Amino acid sequence: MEELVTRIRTTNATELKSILESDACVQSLANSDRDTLLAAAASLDPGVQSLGCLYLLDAVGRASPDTHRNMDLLAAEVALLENGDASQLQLSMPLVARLARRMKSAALREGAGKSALCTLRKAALRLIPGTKYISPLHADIFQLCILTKNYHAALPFIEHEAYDVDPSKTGSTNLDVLLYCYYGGLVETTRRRYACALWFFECALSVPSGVVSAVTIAAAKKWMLLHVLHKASVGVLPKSAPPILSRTVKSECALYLTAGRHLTAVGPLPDLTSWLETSAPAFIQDGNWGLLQLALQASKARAVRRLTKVYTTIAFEKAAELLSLDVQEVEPLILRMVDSGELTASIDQEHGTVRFGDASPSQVDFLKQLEGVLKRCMAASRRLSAMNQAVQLEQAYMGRTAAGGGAAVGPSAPDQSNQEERAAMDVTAAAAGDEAAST
Amino acid sequence: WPHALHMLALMYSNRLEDARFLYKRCPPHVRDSQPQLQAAFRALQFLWQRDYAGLWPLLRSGWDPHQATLVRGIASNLREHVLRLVATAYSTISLQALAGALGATLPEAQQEAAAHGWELTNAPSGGAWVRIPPKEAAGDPVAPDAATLQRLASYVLHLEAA
Repeated sequence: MEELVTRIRTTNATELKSILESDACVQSLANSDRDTLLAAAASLDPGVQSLGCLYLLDAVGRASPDTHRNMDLLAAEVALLENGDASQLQLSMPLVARLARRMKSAALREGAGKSALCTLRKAALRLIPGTKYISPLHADIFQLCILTKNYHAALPFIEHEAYDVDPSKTGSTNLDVLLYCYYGGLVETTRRRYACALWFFECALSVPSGVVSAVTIAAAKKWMLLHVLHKASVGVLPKSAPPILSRTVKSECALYLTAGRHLTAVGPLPDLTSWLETSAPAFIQDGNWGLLQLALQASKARAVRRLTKVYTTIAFEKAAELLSLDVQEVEPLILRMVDSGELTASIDQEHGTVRFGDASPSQVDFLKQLEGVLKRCMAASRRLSAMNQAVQLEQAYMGRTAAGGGAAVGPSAPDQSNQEERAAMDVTAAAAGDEAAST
Repeated sequence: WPHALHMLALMYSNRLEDARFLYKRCPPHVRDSQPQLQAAFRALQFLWQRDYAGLWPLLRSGWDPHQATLVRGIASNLREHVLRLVATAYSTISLQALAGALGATLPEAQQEAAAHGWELTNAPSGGAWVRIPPKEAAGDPVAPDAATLQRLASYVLHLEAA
């Protein structure tokens, strides 16, 4: 162990990585007891010999069952994640992710979730190469935000759209992407940003897999309720979802499909009291009872908005009859909808009527929204062009197109065939020039 | 940590979501031991449910001196908000309902209505009705300037390049 510590202090990071990953070193670390490993890690400076600390602490973590972890190990892991040299740690991101996950679990057991959240945020902002990458740290950060109810701590990682999964730079796996999408969806649902939450859950449903996991089913349930809440319709699974999911959803999420049909029915609102009583335990167990209540309120608001398409002015009694409400409940409901901006109406208390107004948004707000959408479309178009170019320059892609005899494969095949035509014309022109010169 | 003061400050800034999460983060022993925190949470519940008539008595109840300033600020913001809401959502409203929504007495509600140019008429059965004239839609000035034209040009170039 002393020899290893000496080599860690004297060898550069790249060589050290290959030494630490050699069979002999791995065997030596596995055979050492945790106290020796912890003492060796404590003798190193996490800010200077970060890679060595990482491998030693990873070995300690693997050797320590969860019940025998102590605060020294937790403190060492926190010091490494917060102060470790980013260039060294980025050489071995899968190990960093594993260590971070163990640290998170240990901190939660000690009731120090907030501290773990601070540590992971610092580590993520330092170690992830760019905001476009999805890393295992994202999922852990989002989970800690949910458990400690510090949702604003997730903002720096949600505001920037992350779309690149590069295991060589971040150590991400399929499961990490799935958890990132699921926990991100939960954070956005709690913050009432339903459009973003729907996007996260749709991405979770699109993660490639050969089997359906519990996380995917949970994401599907939340996605269905959010679809009813935000888009007023029973959602159809995205085309990118694996085929096995569409077969499984019908059996696993039958209750949610029924809820969707009830809450999006056109016409007077049905009386769902008895159905809610029988279904409540299942929704409560899934943790979706609150979301169902929100979807129910949204369906009442939609029923009011449907009235505006038929009536210009309506009496409270008629509105109560159509909305299946008591007469006294109509005015507060409409007032709340006007207050939240969902409805434009004018209440005449003297005559007991409501006059619905034109719900067109102001021109300035509309233009701002349009500009925001255009900017996002342009940014997505630029990313798509960059990805298209990267694919065309890939050896494997060029090999396939060459083997296919220049057949039309991929979106840029017409460009490639045009280039080949031009090249052929150049050769012909050169040959004609040679002939002319010879004659 | 002054949890009640923090929550009132978030309510004053109209960050009701953050106030709600703050309450959820508070440990149970803190929630149970601070009556002012409980009072602030009840106020948040009324604000969240937009039950302004129910909120006024709570805002007028006794608060600690260092919280009273924030509570007065919340009350002032609330009064302005309710006046804007009444102007938007009502064509006629009873004077009593207006007083309840503003947390004011009948003479004070009458003064507010007169200050906003709302007509007061007596009802045959007693009481009074406040008539609110419809609001004229303000024209949104969207004057094209150099920055707007620049953005438009970039959109056109992008579409042509694609």
